[in-house]
Amino acid sequence: MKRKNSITLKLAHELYDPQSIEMAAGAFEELAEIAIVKNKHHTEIEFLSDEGENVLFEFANYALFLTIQSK
Amino acid sequence: MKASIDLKNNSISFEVSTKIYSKDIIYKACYVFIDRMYVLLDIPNKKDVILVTLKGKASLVKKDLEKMEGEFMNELLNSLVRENISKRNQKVLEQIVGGAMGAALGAGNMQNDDKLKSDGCNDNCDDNIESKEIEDAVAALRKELEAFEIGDDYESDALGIRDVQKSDVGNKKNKEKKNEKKK
Repeated sequence: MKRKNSITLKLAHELYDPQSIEMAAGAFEELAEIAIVKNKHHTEIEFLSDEGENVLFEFANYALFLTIQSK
Repeated sequence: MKASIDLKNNSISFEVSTKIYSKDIIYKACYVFIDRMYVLLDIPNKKDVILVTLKGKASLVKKDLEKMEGEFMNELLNSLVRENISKRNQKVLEQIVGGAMGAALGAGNMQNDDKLKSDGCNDNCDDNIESKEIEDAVAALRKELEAFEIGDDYESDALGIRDVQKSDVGNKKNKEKKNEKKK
């Protein structure tokens, strides 16, 4: 059985639209356990997944894609 | 600042000045790279700088990562130039589109507008004059239709179609007779 790893990612609101981050989290909720903590300037995302860190980077790419689309 | 390469992480990080490349330009470059690499953006403690991290989806050597950074910087420049050109040509484009729309709406309307302007009419009276022109046109059409209207029935042959047909048939018969005689 694969062990779940916890990875944390900080995304600045100046670069990543908070709504886009939430939408990306919704899309990835089946692939990982995601905990979101919103601060004033950034969103902290804690990933708990057995798929490895690549899922986290895929998530970051998708959040960036949604942010660019929303502009 | 020099790029920092993390071979273990398969990534390269470098700073991009927002004084030279706006955030939108950086986004455009990221959009081009997003399907090839993992792209992470961050704001370091420095002012007017965005930290870009490119991480390979497949394992890459140092040379590949440096090449990726170079390509990203080229894409930034490409996006910047394209935006500058589109800004410069925006007025020309607007004029072309405006001209095309005007032509599609009808040259006749434009001629009427010129005529009205030469008559000293401003924009406020445009609507009234236009509606009056439409009413006049409708009235003229009605008159034409009334002139063509057939009072009795189709047997009266108001347009003289029957005569034309008869003469056509007569001509054809004469031609046929002449041909037979020649034979």
